[in-house]
Amino acid sequence: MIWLLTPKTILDENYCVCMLRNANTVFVFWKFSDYYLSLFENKNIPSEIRIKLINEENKILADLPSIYSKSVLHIEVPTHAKKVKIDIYCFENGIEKILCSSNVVNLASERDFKKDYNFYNEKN
Amino acid sequence: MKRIDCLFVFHFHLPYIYHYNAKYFEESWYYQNLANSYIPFLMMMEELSNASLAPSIVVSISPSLYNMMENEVMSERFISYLDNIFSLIEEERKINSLNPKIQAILDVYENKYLKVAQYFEKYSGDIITPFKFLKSQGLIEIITTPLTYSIIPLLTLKESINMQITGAVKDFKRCFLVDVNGLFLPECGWIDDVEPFLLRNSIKYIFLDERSVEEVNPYNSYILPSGVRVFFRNYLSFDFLFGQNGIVSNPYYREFYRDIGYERDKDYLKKYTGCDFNVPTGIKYHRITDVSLDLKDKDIYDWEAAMNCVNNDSERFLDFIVNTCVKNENNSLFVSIFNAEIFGDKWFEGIDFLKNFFIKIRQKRYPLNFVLPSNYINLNSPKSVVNPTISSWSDNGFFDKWLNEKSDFIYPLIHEISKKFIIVASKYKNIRPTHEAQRILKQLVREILLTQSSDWAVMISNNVHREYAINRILKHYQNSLRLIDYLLKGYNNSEEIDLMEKELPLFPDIDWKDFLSVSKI
Repeated sequence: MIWLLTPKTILDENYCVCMLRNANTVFVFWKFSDYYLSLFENKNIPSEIRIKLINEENKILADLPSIYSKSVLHIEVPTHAKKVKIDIYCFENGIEKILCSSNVVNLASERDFKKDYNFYNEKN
Repeated sequence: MKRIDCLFVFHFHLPYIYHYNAKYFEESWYYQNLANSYIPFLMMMEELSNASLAPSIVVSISPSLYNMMENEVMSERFISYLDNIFSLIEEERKINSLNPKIQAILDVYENKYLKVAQYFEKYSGDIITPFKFLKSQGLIEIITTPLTYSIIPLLTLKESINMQITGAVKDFKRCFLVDVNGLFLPECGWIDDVEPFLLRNSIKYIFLDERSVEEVNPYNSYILPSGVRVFFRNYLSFDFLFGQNGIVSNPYYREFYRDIGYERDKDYLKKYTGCDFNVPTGIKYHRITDVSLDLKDKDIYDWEAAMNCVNNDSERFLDFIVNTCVKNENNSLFVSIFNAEIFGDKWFEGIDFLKNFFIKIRQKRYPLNFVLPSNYINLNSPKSVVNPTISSWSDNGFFDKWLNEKSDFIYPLIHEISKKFIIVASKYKNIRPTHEAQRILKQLVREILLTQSSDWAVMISNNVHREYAINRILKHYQNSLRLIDYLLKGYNNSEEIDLMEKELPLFPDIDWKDFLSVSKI
């Protein structure tokens, strides 16, 4: 049998992922590495993080406070943006430090969509 | 008048709800839909075919559903399900012996279920065969969906998209023995990232919601830059049948939500439903009467009155299609997409409606010509190239139905186990895994795929069977982590894998390598 030689923690890194929810909202989730989790948990660094919504021109559209442990956020997007991504920052020694950047999400404008009326779903 | 080409798609889907050694009420959804919708649909098509009246239609069957249709244990359980229904009908006859109206309704149920039982026996429980037979006759074109009906725009990794689509194409070939030409994207969920995978898997056509492209005319077909043909769902037909004041709200049609399962004593019902709590039985005695009425105020159902309405309503729908197309300048193609489960189950008269509808086209010489997509695209050029935007056919055309504050916990879990799989499995790209490792890799992919089922998010968002959905996601997530751990640390006890494989006997030939890096796409 050929087995992997050493078990180790995989996916031990900071990451965040951005998903489109609707024309006005993106959803972001994040996970931090064991190293940064221990810094947060041991209060070596403040538990507050900053979630920054950035457009295709690298302009910050929103700068939102959150807590490292919250791990998810739904963010309202200004209607003039075409693409957005998320950068997450922590404060280390009083200085803002980027922890991770998300994928880029293409936005779509709301286009006179009608709400589907499903006779049976209404009862649920 | 000019002939109207009709492209009707009947979409068959249920999440994978087989449970090997535990009883869950949710598994009965399969038996309920098999008895009330799927088999009656097949019976209708065969009957029409024998009378040379069958239309050519598209049947989309999701892999999770047809894998359940292949499951022999579920076939045996279906026979028990029917036996319980017959026993319940017999008991209800005794309780309602002095009520001729109820007896008449029970006659209808008994006749319907007898025919279903006879049909099932005719094919020895193999429901895939009649689909293949109809296909061989040229009456249906069978297509499929991503493996576990995930909403593609909500998959965070291209590897997941590849697994869902490539896996579906391969599993379809395993089951139906032919290549699939079309793909039904769940809820018409579209994102640009899908296109390369359609091309890679030789998918010739898809269906999208007409609102995904500005200024598109759903009476024409279009083409993606890759050459894949796009048919746009005509929302009006859905609205005409199922919208507010739609045909299904006819006051003489059977009321779906008033079921004896909620009116009889639990102990009385238990021997027929196998449940300790009140659940629907399929035996319902009342008609809609008025959609605004409380369930307790509904009138008794009259089958003959309902069939008179079916006769009128089917003609109304035909006139609607003709008038709609006449109004449209480019009145060449009418694309309707329907969830098959509605016909016969939720809409009790639905199968009779369809039969009436198809018969009338010939009898009254309506200028409707049913086309199959593969033939259509060979004979008709697309109108133009389109670039659909990220969209779905759901609320406002986006994804709130699946991604909201109730269901958002799902997506980090899916991303985590998918990413971990890719990291771990990549190590086997260039070395041959052992037999045991192969089994683990395949089972791991099954578990991850099942967390990606969009059905769980809908149940959680709608608060319908919410606990069941949460338990399913967490179970597949935990199983995935455990299997990943086994791959990392080594594993030499196959009993647990045996049990996992028995619990999820789907996608037997799944290729775990389809879930690896797709950086070149």
